[in-house]
Amino acid sequence: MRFQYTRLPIPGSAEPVPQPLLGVWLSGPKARLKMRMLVDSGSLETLVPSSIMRRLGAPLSEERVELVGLGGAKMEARIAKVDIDFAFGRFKFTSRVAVSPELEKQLCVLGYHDFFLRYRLAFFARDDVFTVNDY
Amino acid sequence: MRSKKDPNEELVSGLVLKGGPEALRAFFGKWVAVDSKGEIRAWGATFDEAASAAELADVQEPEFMYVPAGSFVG
Repeated sequence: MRFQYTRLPIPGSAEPVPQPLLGVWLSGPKARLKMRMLVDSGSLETLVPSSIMRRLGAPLSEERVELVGLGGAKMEARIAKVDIDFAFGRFKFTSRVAVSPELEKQLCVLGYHDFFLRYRLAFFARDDVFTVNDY
Repeated sequence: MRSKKDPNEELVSGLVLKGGPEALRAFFGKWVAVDSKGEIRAWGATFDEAASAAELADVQEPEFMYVPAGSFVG
């Protein structure tokens, strides 16, 4: 299935830049939320801020991971499981998610765990399209 | 292997906003809630603020997104 990139404006730039964003539903015991998330092959984890996980009501496990970002900035995150579906329910899976209050000021991210492990992805940047298919 | 030109592969559009992508310029560094017609109906400095504002505005099935205030580098 093909998905168009979403164009986002950038401060100081006249032209919006295309980003591989995917509209997904996150589901937990208390809520179901529609989110626009960045498909990011460079992220080991799927990243969601604590505020969203509280609203979903998904419990956090005792597992902790240290995330290292741009410039070597580090943060600790807790691990949880969340149900994710997209493309009108055609794709559904349960994903490992890294959760931290420090993830509040960035796009939510679909990363290696478990989005890239679950689906076969291809990016066609010049065409502003990426594809998601089952293995 | 399927290619981008596979006619059997359905195409799903990206986020389509009223006013186009430029509509997001006023919301750098904020969370926005977009309704099914592509209109930004609520926003906030945090996800909780945007979600509460969307509830107050009675937005049905809002889609939430953080608007990065710069080029994202993962």
